Amino acid sequence: MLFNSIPFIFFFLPITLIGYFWLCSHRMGIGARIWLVIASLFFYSYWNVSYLPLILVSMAFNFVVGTVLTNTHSAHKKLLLIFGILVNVLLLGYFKYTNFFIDNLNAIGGFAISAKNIALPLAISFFTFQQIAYLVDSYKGLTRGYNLLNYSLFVTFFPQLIAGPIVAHHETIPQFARIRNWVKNYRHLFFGIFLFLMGLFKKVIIADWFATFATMGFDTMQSLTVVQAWFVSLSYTVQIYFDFSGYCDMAMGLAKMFNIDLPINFNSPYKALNIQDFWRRWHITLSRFLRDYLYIPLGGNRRGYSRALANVFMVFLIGGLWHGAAWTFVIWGALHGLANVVWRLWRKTNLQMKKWLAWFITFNFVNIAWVFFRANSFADAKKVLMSMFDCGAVFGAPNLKAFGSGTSGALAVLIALIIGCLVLPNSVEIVKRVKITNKKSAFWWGCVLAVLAVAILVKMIVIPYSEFIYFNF
Amino acid sequence: MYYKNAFFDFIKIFCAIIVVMVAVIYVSDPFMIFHKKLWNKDKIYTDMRVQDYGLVKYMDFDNFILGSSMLENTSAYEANERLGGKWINLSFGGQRSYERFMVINWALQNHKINNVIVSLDDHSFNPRHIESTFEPKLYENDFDTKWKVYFKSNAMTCVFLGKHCRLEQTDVYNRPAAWINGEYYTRRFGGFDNWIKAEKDDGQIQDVFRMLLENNSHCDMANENYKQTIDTEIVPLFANTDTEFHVIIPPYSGLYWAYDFNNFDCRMRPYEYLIEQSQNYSNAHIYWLYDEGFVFDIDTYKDLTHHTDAINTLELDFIKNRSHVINVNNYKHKIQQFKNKVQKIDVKYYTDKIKEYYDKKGV
Repeated sequence: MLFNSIPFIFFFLPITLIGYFWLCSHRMGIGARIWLVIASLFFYSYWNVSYLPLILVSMAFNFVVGTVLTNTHSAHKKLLLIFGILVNVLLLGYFKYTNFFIDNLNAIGGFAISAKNIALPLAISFFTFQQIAYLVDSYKGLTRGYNLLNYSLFVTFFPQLIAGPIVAHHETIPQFARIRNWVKNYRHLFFGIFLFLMGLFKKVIIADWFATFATMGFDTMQSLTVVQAWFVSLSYTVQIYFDFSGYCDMAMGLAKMFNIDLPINFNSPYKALNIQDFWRRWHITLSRFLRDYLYIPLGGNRRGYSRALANVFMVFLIGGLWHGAAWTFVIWGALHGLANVVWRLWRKTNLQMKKWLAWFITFNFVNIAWVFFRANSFADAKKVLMSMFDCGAVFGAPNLKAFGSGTSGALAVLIALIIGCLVLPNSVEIVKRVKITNKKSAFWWGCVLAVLAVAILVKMIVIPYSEFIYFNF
Repeated sequence: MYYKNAFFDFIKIFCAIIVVMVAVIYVSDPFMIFHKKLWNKDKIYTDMRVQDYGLVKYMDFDNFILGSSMLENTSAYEANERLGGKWINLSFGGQRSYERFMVINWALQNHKINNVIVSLDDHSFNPRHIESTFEPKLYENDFDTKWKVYFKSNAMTCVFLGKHCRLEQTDVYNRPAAWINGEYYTRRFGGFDNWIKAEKDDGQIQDVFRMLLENNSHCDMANENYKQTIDTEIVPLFANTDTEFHVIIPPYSGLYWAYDFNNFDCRMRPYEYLIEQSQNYSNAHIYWLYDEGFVFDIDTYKDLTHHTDAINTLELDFIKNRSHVINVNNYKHKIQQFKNKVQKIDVKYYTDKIKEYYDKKGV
């Protein structure tokens, strides 16, 4: 089930919310949490029920291993941790990378092994990382006192189940257990709806619109002029920004309705002045996971400067591969790894750069790197990149009409959105600024949200819902 | 404290807006999706791809015309006079086979139909669905799609502001989508010089000139996709044996066939296949107008394919008299005869005129 679908908004969400708070209001906290787990599993399996056993087995396995790790002091504790992590990684590897491995084996070794018919289970990348983190923290003794119910909710809680944020156990499990959070809170409900609608607007109105131009440029058109190529790459840059930030807003908003605060996952990344800053703002919880559970265990910066640089590069390379089983993702990860290394080297020189230039370089690097992220093949990436830098055609006709009749408007909106991303506050900052102090302001805010909701609904009826980009990972 | 008010205000206002929107759309229903028109009865939405749903459901007729732009000018009133019965013209331009198939089925479900006149352009044999306002599910009476039609961008401004939609005052039965009265088109009839005069501000003619000069068109019948279209979306209609189907092979100009002479046989293939496949249906009548002289008179055409409405009248006469029927016994001869005539057309005469015009214009 998708957040941007009619069944979710008008049936699943209200029923789940009402059921949860009804049980809470009747002092059935455990029942309420069971209800939320069942609802979340329904939400998960609505897509494809065959994935349900996988998540249940994965959850049971990790809870048992985590509990043993917490309670044991035996010498084999570390072995058990390695075993637990290995099972998770193998599971992810099997479902996500088997065919990638076979393709490469065939290409390198000249074999003719046929690809396996393996469908990628929804959210596997996310719940696997979340549970690996849980095992490591269990090993460190940081997960004491969690029961199966709260653990299940930590893994399956539907606002964050499909595409993150990758939450840490200590961020949500105590919140589920806190009695104060079992009481219906209209302030949270209001802000939750506000965030959810802002996210939905970003996804349905903006991201899906620019997706059409990106799809045409990357997948359909055989050749592009310079202007077309930049229009296509920037369209994708805008699409992925509003798609993912829209998703994050919706996830945070939904959790807020249940009185749960999810960690901020997206903090105006296109305002970043360097690539490190970008990764502190984009998919923050993934960066945090990779830092805590990969970069630091690899040695971090404790084993010398060169090793630290190598570690950074390695982390981004793996991060790239995590996003998808394709060499284009590896290249994307390598580019970001390289950029981070260059940034660290630059920082060491103590040279200063004008802010506007730092932003310009960072934004354009991110935009160019997204080409590899989006392209279905190297040929597509090459087509777009070569066209972007085809100096011979700089003065050629822009010919944006090829994208449809409303493209000149789209170009103006594209520029406005990029400027908006740069100068305007993000959704979380906007919500923080809203204060409702009397009935009049309550009425006007009710009007704003209602009009926003109707506009989105109209768009949703006309155009069938589309998946979020991060659902593929 | 006031957040509770804001929350409930949001719910109330949202519900109120939705209820008002739904009520206004349902009651006004300018596209006749839900019921007969309550007011503005002489105005219909001339995007026939959508409007045909309501016209079929709520108008009274027992015969209909459903062609492409080639039949948009056919008068239903003339059909009443010449062929008898109560006719309506449901034609729309650029029609694809699947669109025609669904509308005909929809009409057959809702009325007892005696006669149907259709035109089969060569592009309509392509089974690929095109991007258009046509909603296949609307003709399956799908509840969601009925509403979806009204939530498309221009429809809302049409409902609430009466703007940005093709809601036009017209004779609903006669030929609501006729283009023959538009000065933009009619100025081009009367000869090739009129095409040249129109070129400066006429995209259609600019395209025609480009086609004639470049002459690099290709025939997509080679992959035999047309067989699928004919087998699934045309011939099955003839199984409705209580209905007579009059299929007009649109009489494009001889110049159309001549400029692309290399693809002549290829473009004729679907027609040949259709004739063969329909030979066992006595209610299917296919009309061939290419043995008429007007086909070689460019004065009759505003571009390579579209003729004056006098030809539409002529077609009705042929249907009345059952003349100009093409069938398995005569099609090879008729097509060869036409091919021989086309071969004699001097395309260079026209391309030279275009080049001369562009030279003068300095292009």
